[in-house]
Amino acid sequence: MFGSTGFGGSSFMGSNVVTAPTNHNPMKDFEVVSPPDESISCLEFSPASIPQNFLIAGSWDNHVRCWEIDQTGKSIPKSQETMQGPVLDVAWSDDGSKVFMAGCDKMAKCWDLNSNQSIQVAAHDAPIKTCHWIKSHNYSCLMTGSWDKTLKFWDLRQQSPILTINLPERCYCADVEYPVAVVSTASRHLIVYQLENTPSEAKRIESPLKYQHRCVSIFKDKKGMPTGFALGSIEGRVAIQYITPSNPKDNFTFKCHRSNGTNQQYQDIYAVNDIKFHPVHGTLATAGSDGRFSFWDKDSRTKLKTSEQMEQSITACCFNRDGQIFAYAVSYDWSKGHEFNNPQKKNYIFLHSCYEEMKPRQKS
Amino acid sequence: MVVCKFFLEGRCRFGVNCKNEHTQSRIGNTYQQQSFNQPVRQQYFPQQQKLRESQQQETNLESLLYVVKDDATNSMQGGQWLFSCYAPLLRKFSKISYNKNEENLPNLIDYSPEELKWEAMQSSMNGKFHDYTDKLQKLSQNYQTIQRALQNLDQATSNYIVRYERGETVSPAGTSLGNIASCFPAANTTSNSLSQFSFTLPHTQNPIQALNQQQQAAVAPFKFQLPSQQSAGASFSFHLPSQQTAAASFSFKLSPQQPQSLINTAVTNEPNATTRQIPVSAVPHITENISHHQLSQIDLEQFKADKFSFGKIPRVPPPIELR
Repeated sequence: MFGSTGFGGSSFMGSNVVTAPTNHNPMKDFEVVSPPDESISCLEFSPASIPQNFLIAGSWDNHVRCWEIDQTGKSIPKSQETMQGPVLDVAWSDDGSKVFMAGCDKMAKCWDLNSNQSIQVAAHDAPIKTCHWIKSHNYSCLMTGSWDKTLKFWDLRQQSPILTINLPERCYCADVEYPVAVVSTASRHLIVYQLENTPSEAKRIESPLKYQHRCVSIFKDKKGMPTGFALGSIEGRVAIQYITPSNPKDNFTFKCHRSNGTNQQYQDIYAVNDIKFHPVHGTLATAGSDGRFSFWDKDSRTKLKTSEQMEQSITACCFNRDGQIFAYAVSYDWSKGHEFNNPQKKNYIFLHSCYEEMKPRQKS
Repeated sequence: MVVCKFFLEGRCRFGVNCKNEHTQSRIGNTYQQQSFNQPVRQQYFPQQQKLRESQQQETNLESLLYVVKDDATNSMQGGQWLFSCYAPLLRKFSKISYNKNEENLPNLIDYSPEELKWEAMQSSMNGKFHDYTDKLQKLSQNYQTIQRALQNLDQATSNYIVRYERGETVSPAGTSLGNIASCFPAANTTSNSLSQFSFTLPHTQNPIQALNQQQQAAVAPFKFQLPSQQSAGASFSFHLPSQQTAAASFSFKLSPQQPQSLINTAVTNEPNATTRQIPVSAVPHITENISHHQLSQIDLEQFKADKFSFGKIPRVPPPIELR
């Protein structure tokens, strides 16, 4: 007998009993073959610089897997790379030739897909939570954020970081859209960096959210310049924040991934595990601990769609380069502790055709 | 002309065609926190009326304390992730421009699910999963005590929060927020004093000594099911990809096990992935109460002891008297 998977019984989180759906693919999406056995921590599609769609997934089983996704939605396993600890984040180089991976082994590695060789390119004193590739006109580097409270920038040819920035707390999430980087740490710190010439702190922003930050994603304005970010917390809430708002009213928050519990008076509150913006429409997707994903239009402030409920939480999501495919990973996010960890439960990665659904609503 | 009250609330559907006047109020339209097509009552911040009042006159932060109460109640009832910091943000309605106190209340430190999962895995690899569950249980008791204090908001706690949000130098000691804090220095995000996990500063090794042992009736009891006897042949194992039965199996060329390292850091060799296991509790959660008499002698001794002995962990929950 295994620990409760959520059927009946109360958890330390409260008495929200969720009747698990019996269908493992309620959205009837394309299922990626050979998914990882352990939780999936990160998903990234290949950049626009290569014509094909490659999907990379990092997992708590120490592996980074690569599939090719063809036009029909079929997934073909291509290759796999191994770290010495659970993988927490992956990133692509701008030319699509290399994949970076970082995780609990306190290292980041660069995996050259053509030669299938990998080398270590970064090191921290604690697990690395985020890694992002920065491509500037006069430099390129890998930015790693770690629980050791530092942000480091690595030129792949050098052993030591070209820059180390101290963070006020452990790095929890980050995003890069040149020339802006946003980093959020434990204790609700929010820091914006500008990346031109050399990365430097641009601004500290007071968090509009009251609880632990979990994910962040930068959005761009009509001209393609990064102008703000979406921030998700463990409290089922997302904040849309402009870096320099023309009007304070532009910033707002909204609740999401809440459900009516058995106790009607109080909603069940689930964490927002991931946020990603559609590369073409500029609308956003949120992935929740409740096992649902939702699409939103931040400009007209409307919800576009909410999915059916998956068998487990959605731990990661991403869009492919042209915004046709929305990939999301269904696996346990540890939101209810070790008691609800059921290794026998299968993890999934689904591919959802999203281009039409994510079109923005006309502002009324 | 009559000022349009819906416009002031940010929800007039006539827009420019409205026959009432759309002027900003003296303070400006403070309805910043619009929800996505949700009724007004689900605003994040206090209602418009209270908002305008509090900004027009000297702020009465006491009247906003209900926000703290609601936050704590909603989070406990809603099954929210427990190990999170909390910022009441009442100060945003105060006229005080600089507040030297951190926004986050002291003694509530962030732990992300990933950190706890990693801690669990490491403990399991070192054969010390018990330690992990013990520490976690103590930690969760602390957080729950604080959340309950925020829900109940007795006089001392209320006074503390109001003064804290005003920027005064106050200590939580003596309030129900402070019983746990009393053995630790005041909130300092770099000290991580509440944490007992290995990933924090080395000096925080001692478990909390002066824990308030009174188990108040918890709204959401944190029931730990200790790992079962079968942890040796654990049901939790990491499968190798080759065990997949999927038709399209991975045709991967394995990269060399020891990647060339450019960097001379001491990388600890983690055990092979296949041997890493986290014990999964086999005893499902049981809510019925079992009286004294139904327990075996060994079980009774175990419940009465301070710690469970390995190999004698009872399979049934303790009776009410021993909880």
